[in-house]
Parts: sequence; C-alpha cells; structure tokens
Amino acid sequence: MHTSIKKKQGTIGIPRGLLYYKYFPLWKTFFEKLDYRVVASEKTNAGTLKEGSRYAIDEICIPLKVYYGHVVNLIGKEIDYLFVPRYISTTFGTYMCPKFLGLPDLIRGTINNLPRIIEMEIDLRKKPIFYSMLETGRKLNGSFSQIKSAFEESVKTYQRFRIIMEAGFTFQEAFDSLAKNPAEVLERRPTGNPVKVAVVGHGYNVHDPFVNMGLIKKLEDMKVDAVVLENLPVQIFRQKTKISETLKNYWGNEEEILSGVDYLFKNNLVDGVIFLCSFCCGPDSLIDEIITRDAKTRDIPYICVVMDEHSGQVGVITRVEAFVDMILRRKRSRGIKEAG
Amino acid sequence: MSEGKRLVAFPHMGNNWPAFKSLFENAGAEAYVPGKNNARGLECGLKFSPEWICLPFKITIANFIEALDKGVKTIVMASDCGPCRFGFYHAVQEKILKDLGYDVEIKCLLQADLLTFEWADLLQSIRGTRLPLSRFKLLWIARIFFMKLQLIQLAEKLEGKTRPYEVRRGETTKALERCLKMIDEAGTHQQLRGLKHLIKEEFAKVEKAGREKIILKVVLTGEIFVALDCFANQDVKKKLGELGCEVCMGISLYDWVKHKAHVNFHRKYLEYLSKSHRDIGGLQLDIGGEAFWVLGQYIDFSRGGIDGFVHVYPFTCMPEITAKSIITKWYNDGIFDVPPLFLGFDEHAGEAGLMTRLEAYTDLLRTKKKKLINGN
Repeated sequence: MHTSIKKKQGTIGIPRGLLYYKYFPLWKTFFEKLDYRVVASEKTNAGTLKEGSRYAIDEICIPLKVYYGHVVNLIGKEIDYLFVPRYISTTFGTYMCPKFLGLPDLIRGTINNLPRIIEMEIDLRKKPIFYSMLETGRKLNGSFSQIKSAFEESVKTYQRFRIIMEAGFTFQEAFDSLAKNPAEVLERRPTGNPVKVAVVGHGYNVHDPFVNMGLIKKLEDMKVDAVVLENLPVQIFRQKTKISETLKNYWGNEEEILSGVDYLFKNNLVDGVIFLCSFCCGPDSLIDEIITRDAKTRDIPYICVVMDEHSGQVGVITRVEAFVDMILRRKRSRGIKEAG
Repeated sequence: MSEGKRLVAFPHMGNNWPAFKSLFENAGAEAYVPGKNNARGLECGLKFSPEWICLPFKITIANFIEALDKGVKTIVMASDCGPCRFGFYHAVQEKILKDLGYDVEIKCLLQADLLTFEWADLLQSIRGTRLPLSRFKLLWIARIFFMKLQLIQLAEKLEGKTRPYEVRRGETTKALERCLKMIDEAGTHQQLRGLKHLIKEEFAKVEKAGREKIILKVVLTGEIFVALDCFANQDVKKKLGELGCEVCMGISLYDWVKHKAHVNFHRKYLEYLSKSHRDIGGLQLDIGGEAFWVLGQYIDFSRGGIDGFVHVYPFTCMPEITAKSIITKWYNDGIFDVPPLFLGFDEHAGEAGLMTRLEAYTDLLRTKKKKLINGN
C-alpha cells in the first residue's frame, strides 16, 4: 500500500460482491480521486458464505448471501463509510433485478451497527450518470471541479479496463494490469486449444472463483479456452434484444447475457455455451428457457449449471467434464464426416 | 369465425373472472372462462414451464393449454414493464405454446400505466370487426369493469369477516359463490348499483354464532396472484377463517387497478410510510411485486387494530423476498410487534404441513391476545 502525503478524508469499504465484478475499477478511481481510501472486503471464502447466511433469510439467492458476508467482513475492519450502490437501470428503458433496486434498504434493514452508508443511485431512465456521481460526491464533501475530474478519470479507467477485458483477460488479470503501464499489458494469452467454450452468466458468478468452484481454472486445465462475456466486443451490447414481437427485454443485467449469447450463436464463435446461474435467481429462470430454445434451434451444445451453497464441487466438475467430452466427440465425428 | 365473434381466453385469477368476462364481452368478443385452477391443470403446466419460474406462470400456462384444447385461438395476458418477472410471462408463454404446436395469438394487456389507454387498443383488436369502439362505449366498458371489481372486493371483504362466526361450515363460501354469480349476471350499471345491498344481505343471511370465543383479526397480503387465488394459496383464507380469524384482505384487484390508474391514494400513503422509515430499511421505490406496499401495510397495521400479519408469495419471488427479509428483521428486533407469518407457495403442496403452521400461528396469537385481555 502506498501512502500519500495528503491526509485522506476517510476510508470507504466496498463489499466484494454483486456489481463489484463489473464496476469496481470505476468506483475505486472515483473515490480515490476524491481523497478517500478504498478498502475491498476479503476474497470470498467459506467463512464469507457462512457469515452471510446468518444474516440473510434462507430463500435469498447465493450472490446476496455472499454479499451479506462481505458486508459483515467489512464491518469488522476499520471503515468510515460503507458503499452500497443502488443500481436501478444502466441503460435507457431497462431495470436491474428487484434485489439491486432495494439493495441499500435490504442491507440497512437487516444488519445492525452499520457504518454510514454511501448510497449511489444510478438511474439512467431519469438522470445521467454524472448527476448521480455528483450527488454522491457532494455527500463526500467534494467540490464540483474535484468531482468532475474524478468522474472523468474514473470513466477513463473503466474504459481502459473494458479494453483490457476485451483482449481476452479474466477479471483479476485485467484489474491487476490496470496499475501497470498501458503499453505492456495488452499481450494476449496464448490460445489454440482445440475446444472453445463460452462461460456466460452474471459477473458475480463467473468471476468469483469460490462461487463457481474454480470453473474457469478447471476449464483451462482441461485444455479448453473459456470466453466470458466481457471478452466480447463492447459494441454488441448496445442494442436491445427482442424477446418476441411485443416484448423487448427490460433487464439490464440479462441484456448482456442475451446479446452476448446471440452474438456467439450467430457468428458461430464457440463450440458450446455454459450458463452459470444461481438457484432462485428470478431473471435467469426465464433467460435460461430462452437460451435453451435458441440453442436447440441452432444446434449448439448448451448446459445450464445451477449453483447454491450446497452444490458440491465434484458434481459440477463431472457435469462440465461430460459436456466438454461431448463437444470433443462431436467435433471428431464431424471431422470424420468432412474428411470422408 | 362463422358467427363473427372471436373467442378470447384469459387467466383465471381468484374471484375476478366476472369482471374480465364482462370486459371482453362488452368489447364484442366471446369470453372463455377457464375452469377453476386445480392440481391436474397445474401438473400439465409444470411439464412445459421452466424449472424454477414462479407459481403464477405455471398456473396461467395451464389455463391457456386448457383453453387452447377447447379451440380458443386468442389469449389475453396482462403484462408489465418490469422490474419483476411478470412482464416476461406472455412472451415466454407464447414461445412455449408455439413450440408445442398450438396456433395461438397472445395479446398483451399492458398495465404499466392505465392512463395511456393502451388497453383501448387491445379491446379494439379483439373485437373481430373493424368498426371502432366509440369513446363513450369505452368509458362505459371501463365503468362496468370497475364496478364489478369493486363489488368483488366488497364480497371478498365480507367473506373474510363472516367466516369465523358461521355456524355451519361452508355457508360463507356458498354465499360468496352466489354473490359472484349475481355479479356475473348483472350487465348494466343500474343492476350493479343495486347489487351492493344484495351482497351485504347475502352475507347477513349466513347464520352466525355469538361472539363468546376470541376472534383474531389477521391481515392477508402479499403477491397479488397468490393472495387472491385460492388454489395458489391452498385456500389459506378459508383455513384461517375456520381457525377463528377475521381475515382482512390487504390486497384486491380493484386496489391494483386503481393504483395503475394513479388514483389509489391509500397506496400513496403506504408508500409514504415505507419511505419515511428509511433509517431502518423501509424501501425507497417500487421494486416490483407488492413489496413496497407490503412494508407500508406492515408499518400501518402495527399501529394497532390487528393481531396477525400473513404474507403470502410464490416461492423465489424476488420483490416479496426482499420485503420478507426486512419485516423479519423488524419483528426480531422488536421495532414492530405484530407477529408476521410468511408462506411461500409452489407446486409442492403439503396440506397437513400448512395446516400445522396455521394452527400453531393462531394458537400463539390467541395466547397473546388472552394475555392482553386479562391485563398481564
């Protein structure tokens, strides 16, 4: 940790859960530019989940239980503020899952002895993102010019982060390389494995090795290239997906999954798709159904892995291994057909 | 079609079918009312639904399959603009039904904001003729619809109030059915206006016992479909009534439609209650479902007047679970002291389990009330 000469105004704790895996570089830069120290909670482990389950009710989905665990972990540290964002919509005309909409209330309503909560309300249906950041910055005693420069800086960092992710890095790799010199990081990992599989799902499932039981690592060991949604070009996420003639998708998070999968299917980029979702996840129960039907018509192998706190690692690995084996056999038989 | 009338089906939700029937019939279509929701239908719906979708999806798709098998081609399904799963229902159901090989057209009744009058377009489109509905006719249809909903709300309210006192079991249910029949048969607003007294009389006719036993007052609220449909909630209202509880309905379709037409000031008050309890976790905005108002109701009712609060929702319902988390904590911390009971429903119904829970709950409430009456 590098200590600055200027006195910091305080410490902000950011739980390592939910949208952390999407916007953490942005938040971190923003708060650091406003002269605050940013502390993230420890990486998810069995203790996180155990602590979280004590506070969360039994029916809630596993990402939220993990989130609770991270909040409790942060309360143990010395922080002055706890950052719990309220993301209502991230593009015009969409919503996030109801649990994101009520996240600060949920945390406030269920955990005692909280430090002061910093609530950033992002609602792009009603106000531009700068306005939300300005509100947050004002609460943290920032001047207008300070907030403006912090905002610009953080957006720049976020864009750089997305570019690095697009080059094919995982979340952690991309985040680590943000601190390095921009010239030296953009070096792609060697590829050329026979099988390429897309792992789609919410960031908090795909990028958290504890929740998905090291799936990405396991795939690498199996000599399978794993593609995550953030590795796809950014511009494909700009259009809204149509579910049917009368309905356009209205979930911001699911939008990414749907358009990403659509892009992968249409361009035939991968040999198979693994959909990671958590038990009880409302939107995913429908998205899974839509992708299943799509995959069936396009004849692309697809598997949906449902996780909760009781899933055993072995069970998941067996399923994924069988899936990869199936893809390999399929490729082989197709190769023979083409040769013959 | 030969008669020129289009046959239209709609999902069966609790006792609200007479209102919808009149809505579509007055618009010039023929309405097909699906039979009461039942276990066999649900089993059929389960086969074709996604695995962990919420219960209303499974029940409504069963309604549709029943209607399609009877030769209906047009289905009207309500739709919303998010953020909960409900807005996706009609699109996914259409996909599923088409994959099953049915020739079906699902028309969606957009209820995000009734003042945009999108429902008028829907009524026009199911008419079968191209002759436009006049504005006067539209208002008249809406008026009949509202009046019917209001009467249904009244009947449901009286049903909950009468049941704990009835001498012969089942008489209240019969009275309710007679009322629904009357509401269904009445066609003009003059007739409907007269019905108000008839409904009250109908419930007054039910023979009642004296008030010697302690009668509890319980609020039944939660997600609208599960709270209103007695198959979806395994008849929790009747069961509570027979255990000696006056059941006060915290929700009705009339309430909901009024809210969507921006004239429900009671809900605005509930919103204010929830918002003003920000420090302890009151929700700040509508997150879908009924979560926002359920919190408001809980705060409102804890100021006195009731003994119990029953919150029903489909298993895995995202907004209601949020409300449940917050209410659980409030009660455990002693901020409010009305004991809540949470019941999540899905297709795995266990009658005895539910009965045991309700009995235990009412026993607890009764003990509490006895202590209060005896003054210690």
